[in-house]
Amino acid sequence: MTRLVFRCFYLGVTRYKNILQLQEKLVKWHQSQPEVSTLLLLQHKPVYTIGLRSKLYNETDKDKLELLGADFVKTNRGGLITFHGPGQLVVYPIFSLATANMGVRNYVNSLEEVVISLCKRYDLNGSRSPHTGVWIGNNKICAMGISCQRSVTSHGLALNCNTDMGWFNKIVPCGIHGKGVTSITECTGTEVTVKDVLSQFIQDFSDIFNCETQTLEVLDENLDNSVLAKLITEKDSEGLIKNLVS
Amino acid sequence: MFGRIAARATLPLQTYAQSQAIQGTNRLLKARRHVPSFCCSLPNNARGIHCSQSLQTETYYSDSHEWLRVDGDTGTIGITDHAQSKLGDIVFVELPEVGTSFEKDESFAVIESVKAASDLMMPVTAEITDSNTALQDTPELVNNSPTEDGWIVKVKLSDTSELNNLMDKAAYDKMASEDSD
Repeated sequence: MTRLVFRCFYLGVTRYKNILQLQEKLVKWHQSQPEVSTLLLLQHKPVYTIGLRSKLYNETDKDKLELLGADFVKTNRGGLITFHGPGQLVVYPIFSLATANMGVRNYVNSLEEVVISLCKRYDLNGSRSPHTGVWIGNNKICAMGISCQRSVTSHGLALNCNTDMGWFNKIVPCGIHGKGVTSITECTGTEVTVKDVLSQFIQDFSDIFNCETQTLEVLDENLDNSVLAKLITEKDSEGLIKNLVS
Repeated sequence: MFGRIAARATLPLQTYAQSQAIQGTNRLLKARRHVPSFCCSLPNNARGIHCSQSLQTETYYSDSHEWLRVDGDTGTIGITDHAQSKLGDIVFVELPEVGTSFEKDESFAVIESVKAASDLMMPVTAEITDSNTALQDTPELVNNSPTEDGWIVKVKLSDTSELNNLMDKAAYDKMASEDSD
């Protein structure tokens, strides 16, 4: 089996809809180039998102959450409602499961393993449950929701580093009653930011997925999704990135 | 659903409609490597066509792990046991509307499991004539009975010659055994 090589991009703090459109473009591109693999790492401005089972939420829910100052976006990923905001590491691996010779269940399990491994670095005992994601006791520290179209993955995971946890009080996160949410900062009592964990995540991802990861490229967070797509799909984009970001 | 596998075994198929060697009905035949001795005599260029003794249902498989059970130009589609085990516990199936038509390889339904929404692809160009609404309340039927009660849609095929591009059980089983997970 070919060892996958992931090109890694950090996109800064972004608007969800812009990145959703970027993902749609990248998924189509990866479907035509199944040998390529991309890892998007970023943060989102405050947004509540729902998944495929959107009939569980209505306009009233949407309006209520938008009044709080967050966006509300419906997606085609698995999983229920969740919140994304600054202080949360969001990772979208976009690659072909067929090329990786991986099934969906194995893929999700491997993503959980990466986060569990990362938690260990902070002496946190991450665990799995029948509900996909990573838990510290009864509190979810990392949510997951994936889409797989013609074998190409999109969406991914959201790990709370120093997220403002108050946003989660307005919803039943992931539709799971009776459980809470937490962050690395909350669990350790020390401020841990997204930038602190970026390279740690990439390292653990590389180990668990047994893949190569190329040097992280940082892109301007204000770029439109069309420009981002062009940069990411150019095989030799180093020159382009320097010109646009300088 | 899991995308195309680069190398797969396919058996040559020939549509039967034009053949005058065997009597009667317009049916589909599958080519096999070994022609049974009871098979009727065939033209020299037929290359091992197996004759069905009666009109029977045939099951075909796509390399994205959908099965298609065909009877003339109507069929039933679901996912294989191998596919459901790779997906994990299924919690939701998004079904297409009856009356919608899809091209071969177009996404027609979505299955959610382990917080992952995976699309299913049409093995042939067809119109949806029925969908298994039982899956709305009991999506686990797809895990427990993927080839019977867990069927997903019924279809009317537009072009039965597209069946030539699909696999039979032996070829599919071989491909599935080479699949990891």
